[in-house]
Amino acid sequence: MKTRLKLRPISSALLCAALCFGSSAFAQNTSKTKSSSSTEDQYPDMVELDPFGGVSIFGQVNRGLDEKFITGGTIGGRVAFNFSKYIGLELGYNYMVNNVRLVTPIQPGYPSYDFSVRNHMLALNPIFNLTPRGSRFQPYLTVGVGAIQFTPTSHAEAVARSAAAAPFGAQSLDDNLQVALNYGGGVKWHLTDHLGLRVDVRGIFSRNPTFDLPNYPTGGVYIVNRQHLNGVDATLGLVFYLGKKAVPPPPPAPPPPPAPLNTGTITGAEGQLCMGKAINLHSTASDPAGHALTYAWKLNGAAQGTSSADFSFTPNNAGDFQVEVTVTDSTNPSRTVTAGPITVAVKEYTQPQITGINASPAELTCASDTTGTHTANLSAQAVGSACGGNLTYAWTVSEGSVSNGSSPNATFDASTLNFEGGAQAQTKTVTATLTVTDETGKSASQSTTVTVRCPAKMVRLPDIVFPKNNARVNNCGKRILIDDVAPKLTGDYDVILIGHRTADERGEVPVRTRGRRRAAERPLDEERVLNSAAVLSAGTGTCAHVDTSNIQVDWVGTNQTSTPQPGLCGTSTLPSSQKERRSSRVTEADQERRVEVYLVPKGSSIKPEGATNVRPLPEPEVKALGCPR
Amino acid sequence: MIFSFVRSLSGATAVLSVAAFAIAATTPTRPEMPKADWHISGPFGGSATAIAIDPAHPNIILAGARNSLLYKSDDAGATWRMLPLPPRTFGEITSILIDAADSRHYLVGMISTFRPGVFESPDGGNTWVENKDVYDIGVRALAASASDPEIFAAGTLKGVMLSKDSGKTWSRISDPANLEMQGVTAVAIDPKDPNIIYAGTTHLPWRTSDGGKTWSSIHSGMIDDSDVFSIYIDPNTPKDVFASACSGIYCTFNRGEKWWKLMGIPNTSRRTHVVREDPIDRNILYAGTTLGLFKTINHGASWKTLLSGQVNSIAFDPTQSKTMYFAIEDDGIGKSFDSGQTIQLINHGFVSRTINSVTLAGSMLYAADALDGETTGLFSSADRGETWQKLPASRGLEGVHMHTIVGVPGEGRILLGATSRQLYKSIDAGASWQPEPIRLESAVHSRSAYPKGRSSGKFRSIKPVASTREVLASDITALYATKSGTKNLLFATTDLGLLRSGDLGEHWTLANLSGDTAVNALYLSAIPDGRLVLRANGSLYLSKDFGDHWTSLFFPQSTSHVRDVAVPWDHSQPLLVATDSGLFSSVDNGHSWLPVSGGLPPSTVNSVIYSPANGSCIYAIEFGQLYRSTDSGSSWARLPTAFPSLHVRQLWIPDKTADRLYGMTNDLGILFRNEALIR
Repeated sequence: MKTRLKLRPISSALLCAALCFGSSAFAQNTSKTKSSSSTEDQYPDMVELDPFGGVSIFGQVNRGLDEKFITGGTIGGRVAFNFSKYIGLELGYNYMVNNVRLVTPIQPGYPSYDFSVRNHMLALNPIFNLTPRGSRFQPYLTVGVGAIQFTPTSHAEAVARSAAAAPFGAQSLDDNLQVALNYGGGVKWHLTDHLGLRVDVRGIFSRNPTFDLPNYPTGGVYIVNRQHLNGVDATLGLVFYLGKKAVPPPPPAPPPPPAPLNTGTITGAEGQLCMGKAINLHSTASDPAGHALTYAWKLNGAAQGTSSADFSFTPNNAGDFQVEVTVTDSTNPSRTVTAGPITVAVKEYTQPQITGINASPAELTCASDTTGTHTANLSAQAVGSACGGNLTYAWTVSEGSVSNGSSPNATFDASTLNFEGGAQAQTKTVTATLTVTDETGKSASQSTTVTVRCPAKMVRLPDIVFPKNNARVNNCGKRILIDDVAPKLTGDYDVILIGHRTADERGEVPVRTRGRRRAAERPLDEERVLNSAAVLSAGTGTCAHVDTSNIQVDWVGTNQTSTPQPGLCGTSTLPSSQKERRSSRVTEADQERRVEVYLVPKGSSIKPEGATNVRPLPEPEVKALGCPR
Repeated sequence: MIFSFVRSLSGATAVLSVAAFAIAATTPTRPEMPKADWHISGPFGGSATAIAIDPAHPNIILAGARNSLLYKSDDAGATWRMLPLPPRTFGEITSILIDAADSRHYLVGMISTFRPGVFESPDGGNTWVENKDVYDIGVRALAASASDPEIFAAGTLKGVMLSKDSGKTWSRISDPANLEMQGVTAVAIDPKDPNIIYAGTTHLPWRTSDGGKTWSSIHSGMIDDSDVFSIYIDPNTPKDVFASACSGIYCTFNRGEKWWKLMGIPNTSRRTHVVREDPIDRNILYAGTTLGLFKTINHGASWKTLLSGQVNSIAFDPTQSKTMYFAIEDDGIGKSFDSGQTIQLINHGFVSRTINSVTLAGSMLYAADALDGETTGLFSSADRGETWQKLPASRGLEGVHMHTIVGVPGEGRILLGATSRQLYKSIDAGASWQPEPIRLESAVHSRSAYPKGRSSGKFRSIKPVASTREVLASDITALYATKSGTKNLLFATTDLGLLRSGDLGEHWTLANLSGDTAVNALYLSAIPDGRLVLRANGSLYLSKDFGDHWTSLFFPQSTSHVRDVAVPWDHSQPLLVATDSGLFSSVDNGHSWLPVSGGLPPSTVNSVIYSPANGSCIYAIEFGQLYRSTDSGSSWARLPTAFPSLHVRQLWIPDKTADRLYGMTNDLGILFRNEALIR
C-alpha cells in the first residue's frame, strides 16, 4: 500500500512535467502561430516515425508477495498519421526491460524471488495536437489502448524450472498478455523539415501479470491475479517527418508594364497676370497606374523648391517667365514626363493715382446761418492700372458728414459742424480726404479743404407779449427772461429789449416803483421794456441777476417794423390773487404788444431790425422797479 | 506777465461745503490724466441743471448742466467724468432719464438754439445719437412709466411726445393745434396706468387718461399764469399729484380735478423748480426753489430751509432713502446722507462755471466768475491751477458782478477788478473790495505864450499843469498789469479809451489814439519790454514804450475779426494776429502782413501765444486743436489730445518760470498742460 501511494505521485508528476513542457512549448509555438500557420504545410508532417528511448516505471501490487516491476529502460517506435490539422493516429511499440520482484519472501528467511521480464507493448492512440499541423512546437495529448506482453526471459524460465528453484514452485513461469490503457502527452519540436525531437510521458494501466504462477498461496511463489498495474513511460525520441513538403504557390505573374504617365498641362497662367501679385500654377499630370507623383518645377530654368502639383510665385517685374514641371512616379523614378516650358506673361502694375480733387463750392456757411449754403460737391478723378483692378473710393472729412462717400463724387454736409456758442464770427477748415484703393489693396490719398464760415449773428428769442394796456411780464415771459436769456449772458452776448405798443393802447402808464403806483407816467412800451429788464436784473427768487451792463434797451412806440414772434407765451397776466383762469393764447392784437428779445454779440454793431435808438439800460429806473411780480 | 480774460470762460468752483459736514475725509484724489495732454483743473462746480440716479446701480449718477455738459459718476458722486454728449449752441440739459430696464441706456433732453432734442446713449454714455423723431425740438422734461418701463414721455416745445419702445421712436400725442400745449415744461406718467399722463406748460397743467388721445386742462384751484416746472405723482397713491410752479406748490388728491396750494413757505417770491415726496414718509416733501431747498415734515403746513442756493433737480438713492442728490445753481452737485439736514458739495470733476477772468498775483492765481449768484465768485489757487479754492464771501461785492480782475506783479495781496462801469480794488487778497473812482489826470502840456500882459515879444514857456477829474466809464472790458522796471503799470480797456495807471489805480491817464476812443483789448509781450498792442474799434495800435506812444498798425482786416495778438518778446520774431479766418504774421512791426500756413489751417485761431521760455516757440489754438511751431511760425505741428471736442478759447502762460500752458474754455473752466512735455 505504501509503495502504491508512492508511485502515483511520481507518475502524476512526470505526466504534469510533460504537459507543462508541452504547454510552454505550445506557448512558444503560439507566439509564432501566425507565421507558422501561414506555412503549416511547409513541413512534411503527414507521417511521423518516432524512435525513442526512455525509462519505464511500474508500481507495485500490494497483494500476496507484493509483485513489483523493477524500473527499467524502454525503447520503441511509433508511427503516426496526421490526417487532420490537429488530430493524428499513432501506432506505437514499446520494448521495456522491467524485471519482476516478489518483494515478500514466501517464508521468513527465504530471499525474495526475482526474475527477468521483458515487456512488449503495442498501442494504438489518437493524438490530439494542441497546435496545428506543421507548427514548430506541437504539444499533444493522447489516450489509447493496446496490449502488453509480459515475457519472462528464457533464463528466468530456466531458473524457475530448475530444481534449485523447486521450493519456490515457479515451474509454470510463462508469458502473460494483458490489455493496457495508455494515456499522456508530450511535445514535438521541429528541428528541420524532416527531423524533430519528441518528449513523451505516458501512463500505463493494465491488469498485473501472473506469469502463470499460482494466484494463491501454495507454499511457493504466487501472484494474486486481477490486480491493477500502473506504470509510466517517459521517453525522448526523434521524429522523422515523412510527409510531403508543401509545394509553394507559384509566383504571381509579373504585372504588365504600367502605362506611361500623362503629361497633362500647366494651368494657372491664363488671364491677367501681374507683377507683385502671386501667380498660382498647377500641373494636371497624372499616372494611370495611380502611383504617387512628385513634381519638380523650374522657373526660368532654375529649380524651385516645391515638389507638389501646385507652384506659386510672385513676380517682381513684368515680362515673360518660362515655367516647366517634371513629373516623376515616386515608386518608379524611371517613369517621368515633363510639361512645358510654358511662357507666363506678367504685366506691369502701377499704384492708383488721384489726378484731380475738387470741392465746389469751397466755402460754405454753418447751419445756423440758414441763408447760406451748407453742402459742397466733392469730386475727384483717379486712375489705376489693369493689374490693379477696379478702384474703390472712400471720402472722409475731418468734421461734418459725407453722403455718397464711396463714389468719385460725394457731397459734404457742413450742417453738423460744431461751432462754439460764441458771438464772434468763426471759420473752420474742413479737410476732405479721398482714398482710392485698387483690388490689390494699394491706395492713394489726396485732400482738399472746404472753408465753413459762421458769421457772428444775433439770436432772437420769443417775444414777451402783453395784454392790452398792460406792462406786467407774465410767468411765461419770465421763463424766457430768467431761464432762457439770463444764463446766456455770461460775457459774449448782450441782450437788447425792444418795447412795442399798439395804437389802440394808452400811450403812457403810471410809473410803479417796487409795485407801488406813482404819479408819474411813462410810455407803455418803455414800461414794458423796463419791467422786462427788471426781471432780468433785479435778483431775488423770482428775477434773474444779470448785470445791467449786459442789457440794452429800446422802445419804439407803435412802430411794428419787425415781425412779431410770439413763440409759446400767451398774454395771461392775472395777478395771483385772481383765481380765474384765462387763456394763454395770443391774439393777433396781442402779438404786437410785445417786447422783442435779442441776444447780440457783445461790442458788435449788429442791431435788430426796427431798432431805432438802442441805448444802455437806465439803471436807476430799473432798480426802482425792484423785481416785478 | 499778467493776463486777464475778458470773455466769458466757463470754469468751476472748488469743493465747498454749505453745511457742517467733514468734506476732507471724502475728498477723492485727482484722477490720473495723460501727462502730455490737457488737465481739467476746474475750479470745480458751477451750475447743475439736472440729476438722475441709476435705479439699479445707485452709485451711478448722471448730472447735466448748461453748455451741453453731461457728467457721470460711478462712485456715488465722489468723482465725475464728462460724457461725450454732442455739443449744441446754448445747449442746456433739462432732463435725464436712465432706463430702468437697461442701466446702460440713457436719454437726455436738451434745449438749445441749434438742434436741440433727445439724445440717446445705448452704452452707458460712451456714445450718443440724437433721436430723429425729436430732431430740432427743445425738450424740457422726460419721464418713464413705472408700470411699463418701455413707455417714455417727453415734454417738448412742440407738445407731449410718447415713446412705447424705450425711446427709439417717438410720436406726438398732444394736439398740434392746441396752442396752449406747445411749450410743455413738465411731464409725468401715472405709475400704475401709463395711459394717464400729466403735462405742465408755461401756463397751467394738462392731463390725458387715454394715452394722449384727449387732453383736458386741470387748473381748478391753481393760480392762473402758473408756469409749471415739475409734476410729481405719489407712486403708492397715484391720485395724489404734486405740481411745482412759479406761483407755488400745488397738490391734488383726485388726479388734478382740484388743486390745493401748499402754504407755509415764507416769502412767496420764488420759483419752485422741483417738488419731491420723501420715499418713505409721505408727509415729508422737498421743494427745490430759486431761493433754496425747503423741506416740510407735515405735508406743507410748515417748511424749513435746508439750503439757500437755487435747486434745480433732486434725486433719491433708491436703496438709502435718506441719501439725496441735488443739482444746484452755481454750486454744482450736492449730496445729503440725512434727508437734506446737511448737504455737502461733491463736484470733483464736475465743471460748469463761467470764469470770466484769471490773473496772477504774487504766487497765486485768481479767477473770477462774474455771475455767482448775487455776487462775483472769486477763486484762488496756490498750486498753479492744480486745485482751486473759493474765496469766502468778499465784503463789498454784494450785488457786484466783476467780469475782470488783475493782480499786480509782485504785490500778492493787491487785486483790481471791474464791472462794466465800476472799478474795485482789494488790498487783502480779495477778502474785501472797495469801489475805486476813475480819477483821470489830464496834463495841460507846456506851451509857449507871450509874456503876461504882452501881445508880442519873445515867447516864454509855461509849466505844465495837471488836472484830475473823475470820469465814468460805461464799458470797462478788461484790466491788465505789467511792470516797467520797478514800476507797476495798470491798464484798463474802456469805452473811454485805454487808461493807464502808475499808482495802482489811484490815478489814470488816457492814451492818445488819434481818433479811436473805445478800446477792446490789450496784448502784452510775454516778457515786459514795453511792447504793447492795443485793439481798438478802428485799428490795432503798437506801443514800444508801455503805452506812452502809439502807432497804428496796418492790419488788413477789421479788428472785430481779431481774436488774439501774440507780441514777441524776442524782437526778431514776428508779430502774430489770430483772427476768425486764420493767423497773420508781420515781421516789420505791423507794416505788412502775411497769412500763416505751414500746417496751420486757415480756420478760426482763437488764441496765439509765444512761450516765455523759448522765443521761437509759439502755440496756437483752433477750437480744440492745439498747434505748436518751434520755428517762428514757419511750420506747425498738431499736438495730440484726448479732448478733440474742447473749445479752448484763450491760451495763457502767466510768466517765464511757469512750465504750464493754460487753456481757457467756454465751458470747462481752466485747463493746463505741462509745457516741458510738449515743447
